[in-house]
Amino acid sequence: MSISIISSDGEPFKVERKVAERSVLIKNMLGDLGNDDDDDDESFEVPIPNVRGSVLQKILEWCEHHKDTAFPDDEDDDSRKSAPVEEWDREFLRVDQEMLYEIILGANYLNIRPLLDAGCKVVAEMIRGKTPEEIRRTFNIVNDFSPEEEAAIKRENEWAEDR
Amino acid sequence: MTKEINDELAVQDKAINLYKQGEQKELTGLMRDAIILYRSAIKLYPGVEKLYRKQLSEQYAKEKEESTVDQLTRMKLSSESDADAEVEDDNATAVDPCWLLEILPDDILIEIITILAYIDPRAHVSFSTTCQRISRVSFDPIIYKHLCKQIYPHQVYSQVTRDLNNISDDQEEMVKSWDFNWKEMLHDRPFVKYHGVYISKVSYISEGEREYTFYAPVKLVTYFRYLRFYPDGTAFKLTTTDEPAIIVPIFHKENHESIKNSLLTKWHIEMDGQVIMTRKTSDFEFVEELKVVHLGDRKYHRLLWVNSGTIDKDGERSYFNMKKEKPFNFSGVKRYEVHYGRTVA
Repeated sequence: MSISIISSDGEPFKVERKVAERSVLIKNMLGDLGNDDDDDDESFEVPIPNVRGSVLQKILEWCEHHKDTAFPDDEDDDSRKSAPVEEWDREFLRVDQEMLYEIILGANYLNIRPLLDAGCKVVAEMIRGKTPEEIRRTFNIVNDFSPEEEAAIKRENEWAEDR
Repeated sequence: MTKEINDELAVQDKAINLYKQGEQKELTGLMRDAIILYRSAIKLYPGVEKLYRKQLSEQYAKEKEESTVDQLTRMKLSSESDADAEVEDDNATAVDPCWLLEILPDDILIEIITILAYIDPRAHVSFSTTCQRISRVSFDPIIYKHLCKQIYPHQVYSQVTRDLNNISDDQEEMVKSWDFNWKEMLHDRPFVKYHGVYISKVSYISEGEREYTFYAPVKLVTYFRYLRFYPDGTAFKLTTTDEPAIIVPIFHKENHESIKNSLLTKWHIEMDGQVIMTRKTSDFEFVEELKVVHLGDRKYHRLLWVNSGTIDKDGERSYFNMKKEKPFNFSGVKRYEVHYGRTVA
C-alpha cells in the first residue's frame, strides 16, 4: 500500500507506509482503516490541510531518513530534554528561521515527537548563552517593555538562574 | 471689498518679507540692521511675528506629511516588489518580522523554554525578559513542574525525614500535598542550591590591648565563611580572610587537601528548610544548623544560622557563641559543574 499525502496547497507526496507512519497522526488514521499490507495496488490519500508543500517535503525527507530509527518511547523527561540533537538532524534543520518554525509546527500537527523535540532543541540552542539584547537581535523580537518594567521582570525572575 | 482684502494681504506679505530679511540679518549677526527691518515690518503690520510663525508651522507640518506619505509609498513599493532587491533602503531593516512569535503558538514556545530551563537557566531568565508574550509563557505552570523535577530529586534528606514526610523522588506524587500546584510547591519547599557557593562575610571591630598606649587601638576584622553543597551529601566549608575573588574559582571539594583549613562535612535538609551539617572527630561530633530562607524575590537565597555546637562522647551538648556571625548569601558560579550522582526516576 502506498500513501499519498496532500499538502495544504494541493501538492501530493507519494511515500511508503512506513515513512508516513513516522507521523503518529497518519499512523492512527491508517490504523483505523485496517491493515492490508499485501494489497499493493491500493493507494490511500491523506490530506494535510495545514502544512504547505515545501514544508511537507522537508518533513517527509526527515521521515524517510528515520524510517528505521528506533526512538525511545516517552521515557523520563529529564534525559530526553537535555540530550543533544543528533548530528544528522542538526544539519537537516540548518534552514532559515521561517522554515524551521514551520517544520516544528508541522511536526507538532503531524505528531512526530522526535522531530518536534529536535526542532525545539535547535531553537533553544539559538537562545543559549545569549543576553536579552542578543536574543532580541537573533529573533527580531520587539521589546515592548518600558525600561522600568523590564528591570522589574528581571528582578522577579532572577531566582530561576540559581539551582 | 475684495480689493480691501487683497490690499491687506499684500501688506501682510510685504511685512513678512521685511521680517524675513530682518531674520537673515539677525542670523548673520547684524543685529542693528535686523532691528530696523523688524521695526518697519511691525509698523506695516503689527501682527507680523504671529503670522510668520503660523506660516512656518503650517509649512513644517506639510513637509512632514509629504515625507511620511513618501516613505509609505516607498515601503509599499518595496513590499510589492518583494523577494528580489528587498533591502535597498536602510530604514527597511527594522521591519524584519519575528517569525518565532508569528509562527509558533504558546504551547510550543513553552516546549522550547522547558528545554532552555534544562540546558541554560540563565538564558531562560534572559529570554523571559525580552518581551511581554515570552515573559508571560516563561513561567507557565508546566515550567514550574520541570523546575521542581530538576530540583527536588537531587536534594539530600535523612532517612528519618524521608519516612516521616513520605518523601518520594517522584515529584508528581509530592505535588499532591500542594494540590497539584507546582508553583506553590517551589515556593514552599526549601532547597539547597548547587551551582554556586554560599558566602557569609563577617566584620567586627576588635579592641586592641590598652596597656601600652594612651588610646585603645581599634581594628576592623573581616573574614569570610564559604559553604558549598554537593548532591552526594557532602558539604565543603572554609573560613578565611581571603576574598571571594581568590577562593571562589578554586573552591571545589577535590581541592580539600590543598586549601588550608577547609573541611568536609555531611549535610542534609529537612522539609522546613533546616540544613544540618555534621562532622565527627575521635572525641566530638560537630553539628551546625542553618535555615534556608528567601531573600526578597530570590527564592532560598539565604542561609541563616540556627546554632553551632558539639556533642561529646557522653552525648553532652555545648554551643558556640554565634553572636558575630552573619547569614550566608548564595552566589551563582557559572563554571561550577554539578554531578548528580543518582539517576532520577
